Amino acid sequence: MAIAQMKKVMIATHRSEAALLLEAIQQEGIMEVLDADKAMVSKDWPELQPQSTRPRDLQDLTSRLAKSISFLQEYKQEKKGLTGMLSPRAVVAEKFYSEVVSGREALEILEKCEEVREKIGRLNGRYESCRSMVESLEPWVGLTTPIEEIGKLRRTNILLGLIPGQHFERTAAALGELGAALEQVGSTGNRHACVIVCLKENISDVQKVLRAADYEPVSFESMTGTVAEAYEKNKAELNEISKHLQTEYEKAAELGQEYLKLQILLDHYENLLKRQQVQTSAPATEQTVLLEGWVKKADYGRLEATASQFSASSLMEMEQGQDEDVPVEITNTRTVRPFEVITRLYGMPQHFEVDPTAFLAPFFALFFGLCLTDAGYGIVIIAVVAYMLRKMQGDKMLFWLLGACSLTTIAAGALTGGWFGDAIQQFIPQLAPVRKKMMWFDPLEQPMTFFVLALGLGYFQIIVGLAIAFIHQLVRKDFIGAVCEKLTWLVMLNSLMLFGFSKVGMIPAVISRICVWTAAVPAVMIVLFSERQGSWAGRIGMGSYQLFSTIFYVGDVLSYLRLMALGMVTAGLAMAINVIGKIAGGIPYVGVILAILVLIGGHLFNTAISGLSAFVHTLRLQYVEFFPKFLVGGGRLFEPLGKQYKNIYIVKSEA
Amino acid sequence: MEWGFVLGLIGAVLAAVLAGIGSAIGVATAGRTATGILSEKPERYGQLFIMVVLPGTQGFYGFLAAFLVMLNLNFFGEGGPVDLTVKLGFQVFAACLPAAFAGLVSAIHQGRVCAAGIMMAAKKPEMAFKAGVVYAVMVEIYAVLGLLISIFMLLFGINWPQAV
Repeated sequence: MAIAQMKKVMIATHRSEAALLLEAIQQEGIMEVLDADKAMVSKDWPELQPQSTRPRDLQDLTSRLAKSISFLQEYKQEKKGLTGMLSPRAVVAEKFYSEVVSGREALEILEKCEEVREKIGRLNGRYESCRSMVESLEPWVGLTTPIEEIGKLRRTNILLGLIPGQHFERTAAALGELGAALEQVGSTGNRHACVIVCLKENISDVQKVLRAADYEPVSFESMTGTVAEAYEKNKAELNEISKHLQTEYEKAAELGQEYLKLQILLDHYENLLKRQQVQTSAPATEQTVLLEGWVKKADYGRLEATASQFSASSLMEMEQGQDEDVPVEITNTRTVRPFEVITRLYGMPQHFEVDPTAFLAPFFALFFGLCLTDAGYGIVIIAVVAYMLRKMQGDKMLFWLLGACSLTTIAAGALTGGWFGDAIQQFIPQLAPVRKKMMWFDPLEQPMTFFVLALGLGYFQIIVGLAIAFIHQLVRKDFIGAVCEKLTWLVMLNSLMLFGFSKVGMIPAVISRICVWTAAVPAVMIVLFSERQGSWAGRIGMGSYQLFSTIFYVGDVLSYLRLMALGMVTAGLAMAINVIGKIAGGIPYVGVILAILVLIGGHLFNTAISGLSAFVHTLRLQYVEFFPKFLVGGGRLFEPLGKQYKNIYIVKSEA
Repeated sequence: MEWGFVLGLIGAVLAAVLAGIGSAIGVATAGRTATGILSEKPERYGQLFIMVVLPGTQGFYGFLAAFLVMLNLNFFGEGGPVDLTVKLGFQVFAACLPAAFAGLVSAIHQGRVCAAGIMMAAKKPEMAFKAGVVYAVMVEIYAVLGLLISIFMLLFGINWPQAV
């Protein structure tokens, strides 16, 4: 339940051993290794430069693998549906993994795959050009004169080209007037393939007419024989190419079965690449590589054991540099751990701050429940969570979090009598006594109770936030700061609270007279001492502003009214769904089915949108109202060098 | 029928129509942006979906307010709708306005926030929920508050006539 203590370490290793050592460290996944820009050692000795070589071969290999994998994706058997989406990574036994990685087979598959891919690309290119040839030749098949005989004659010119249909009649007439002959040999779409013969002296007039008609000249350069022959030849080639393509596609489909092996190889090499990048960017001398970095104090022993396996490497602890950016990791007990999702989403606290996870956990679960206040919806969420936990791979923390929140939702729903809105009163009145028995209050009859509950919880959370800050500053031995910046507020706010209560007569009036003083003293202290540096004018100015900011606390507390608003709107929408369902049920014959569809669809929809609102607004209450009381944030997340698998999921034994 | 009944209905209509218009505009704004992004990055569909449909909720809020009016006017019960005096009609009319206008304006603006979030998610998918969805939901709370006031007024502020 705290921020993990970090240790700065340095491993000096001989170059020949560095790769193996790094692999062992990566396997453990407990150390963050700094590159030469960040390492303190290269600040003290600038001559320690990283090796200038980059692992280019590996980069090439991984990008080749990635390309081939995306190529094969079209040809492999896909896991279909929701299950495939939830568990995108293939499960691989450890033994199979090491076989694939150590053998040459996967690399051969890669080469074959690239060969096929290239061939398919080439064939597709040829197919395209052949097809467009066939298309352009098609209208000219009727031209029986061999191509080489068409051209300039002694007295006349021969033109070949396409004339759009809408201009054809007009052009033919105009050409006839010029004494040119026009013959249509075929057509494609809306355009006619024409042969035009005209006298040489008329050529410019003829061309003017043709231009006006959007005429498109066609040439058959470098062709011999008749068009029909060329057409047939190209068609035959097209068939040939299709056959070739088909065989290549079959080969690709066959390779698609080896898809998994390429995925394994890609993940393997990406981990290797990461390792090499760390090695090449670490400060080094001619003979040694200096791995400077961070490790959790708790993991130091493990790192020591790892390093001691290597005879030419030595591990030592280092002094933490001044103003050095210490990475932050949080550790929590199993019950609280799902709530780390919220902290991580916000970003890590600074390394000297408190980990807010354990403090926000009860509030988050409670507020989420209050935003929904419907036991039925809680049950729906539990069902979804249970399904996801069983089917999903990887990080399931979010669903554990939702699971915890759905329990509070059920509790809040039972206490306020919300079971799918007013479904019990509407449809199953027999259960009404049971509902009544569990119920504390009905928000629709006593909205003020909900109102006060929301505000009270809000006030409580804000005071808890201030108390955390106060205690944390005491622990850090900043006693003056703790008293002047936090205790003053705690005393003043609570005094003002009590003062208000006694004024409205909820507690004896004597207390109000005491509270005036217990509020006034910290108020003066806030003005005088909340800013303790600079000139007195500045200090009092800042202090006055601080005192003025009391009204922001009012805003903060009022913000918790969203709990009530969201809770009641969820109930309102659920009620509307029930009424519509009831009306639908009144329709003759199909009524029951319709009613069931409306109820199921409507309530699922309401669960989804109200659940999203509940989650986000609860999140906001933590981030905006709670965190700023004791947390600044902006810490750098601890990122140890570890093995990551994007495509596969390794299990110990045969799955 | 008295004019009060008409006034009450106009209130219900305004709630449903204005909030509906707002949602339509909001979803349209977000949807157009999302289709643009999807033309280049179709794999983001699921992530963008939620931001496109978010401004749609205000329409339901308006619908709920209108529905409550109809429910209390006994549209769905035995004997058909009951009549309202002009005074009651004005009350119903006024009670519908928070849901109508808060829904209208917040949905349009939520649509814009969603569109911006969608564009950001195209470049920084890891921020899609953190900023895109969270910011957009913050706009919606004012529609929720408006609806809540409408609900309170309709349920507790109006002395509805009993169906005969």
